[in-house]
Amino acid sequence: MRSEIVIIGGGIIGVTLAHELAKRGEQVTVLEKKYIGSGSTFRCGTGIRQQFTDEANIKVMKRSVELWKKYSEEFGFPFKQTGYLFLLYDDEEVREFKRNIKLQNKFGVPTRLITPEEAKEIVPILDISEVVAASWNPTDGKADPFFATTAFAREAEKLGAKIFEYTEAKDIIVENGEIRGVKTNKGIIKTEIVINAANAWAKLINAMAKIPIKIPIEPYKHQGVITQPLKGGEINPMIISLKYNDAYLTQTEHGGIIGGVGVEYGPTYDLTPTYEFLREVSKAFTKIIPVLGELLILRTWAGFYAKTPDSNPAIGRIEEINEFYIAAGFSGHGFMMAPAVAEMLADLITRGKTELPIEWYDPYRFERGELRETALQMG
Amino acid sequence: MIKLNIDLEKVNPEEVFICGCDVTLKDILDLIDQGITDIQLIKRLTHVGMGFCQGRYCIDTVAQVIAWKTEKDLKEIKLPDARMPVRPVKMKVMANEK
Repeated sequence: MRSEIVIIGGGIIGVTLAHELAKRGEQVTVLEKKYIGSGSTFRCGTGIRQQFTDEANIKVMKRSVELWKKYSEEFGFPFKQTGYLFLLYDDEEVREFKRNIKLQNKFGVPTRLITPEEAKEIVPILDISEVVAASWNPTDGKADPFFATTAFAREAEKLGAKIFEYTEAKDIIVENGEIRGVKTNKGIIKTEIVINAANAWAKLINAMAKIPIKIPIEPYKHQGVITQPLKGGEINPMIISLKYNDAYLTQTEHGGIIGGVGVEYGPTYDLTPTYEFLREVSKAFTKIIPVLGELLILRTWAGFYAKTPDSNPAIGRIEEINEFYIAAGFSGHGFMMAPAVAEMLADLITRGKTELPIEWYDPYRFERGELRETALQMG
Repeated sequence: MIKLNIDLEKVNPEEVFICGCDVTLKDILDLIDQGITDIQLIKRLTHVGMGFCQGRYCIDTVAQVIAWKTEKDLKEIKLPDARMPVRPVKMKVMANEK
């Protein structure tokens, strides 16, 4: 069979990109070795924030939130702008966040510094005894990764995209620097354009195409926790505490408390949950909201942060191999960034340029030793 | 793994609850009929294995149903990974662990 474009990886990046390209009339096929979302997307923490600390990520996330809103309304999946609340514990943290807020405001993100009392009004069960201020943006939010991924995949298929599950890319056929096709466990797909959207597995795909430049993306194990449900609306925003182990937590639509902390292992492809995480997440969460101590923990799970040295993804075209693109190495931000990434990469492929600051994510920056300011990362 | 001592051919699948959380044998059979035989997917589509038992009672049964319908050996049915805690535990208990 033949396809104009083959995307390797059926996570949120792969399906949003397939949707965006199909909408522009491109013939596109997604290869997913298991089922869509199975790699990292279905394991993600659900958060969508614009509170970053550099211009590029703020601009991209502002666009992403606009697209999350638009598509959730069009496709009917849950996306709620319930805000991100960063709890701050000392003057130095406050100074740092004041700088971030100024930058976010400059690009139209309405973050503001609020008092501990105002934070408690937003989340009444919060312990504010150590909190000196909070950084609050009510337009950040969260979406259901299961509904969202499935919706984008279904809509992409309606527009003619093909999504092949349980179909694993085994090799990329390149002749004289030109892509000819992709070998899979189910046969060969002839194509001229390949997009590496495999995130945690991106280095394997780069190796198949013999990419001649160094794009360091390594899989690190992070974990999530979910508790028994409690009455809805107790914790609407995503709450962040950098002091307590880079913790993030919120309440799902179903009522359970979901979140994680910065307990990281790797590089590894192991996904076994650890006792250390269970203990550390409990310590952090009960410091932030003591009453959570009374809730039963139902389960933990692991997923990958596909990390680059500056925690920013590699997005762009690899010049040496015609035509090979990459959108991978999201370092824990792939879900939230996906709709904007799909737009900017589809722009690059179909128009040769984009208004979004794609150059920040230049895949050649590692080779050139031009690392970016590290993207703000939780968990 | 416990061997089922009922004949699944002879029951009404709508009346057999395969999981304490309102998942019937029919829910599982309908998915298998659509070609969905990956326990991970069946879990996400029916929430079997996601309630208070976290699959400790129901997942074995689902695996046996898949083996039966797909005519595979039970050993070939890949089970979901074990995920802590083994039994639901209060967060404050874990928070006080050393």
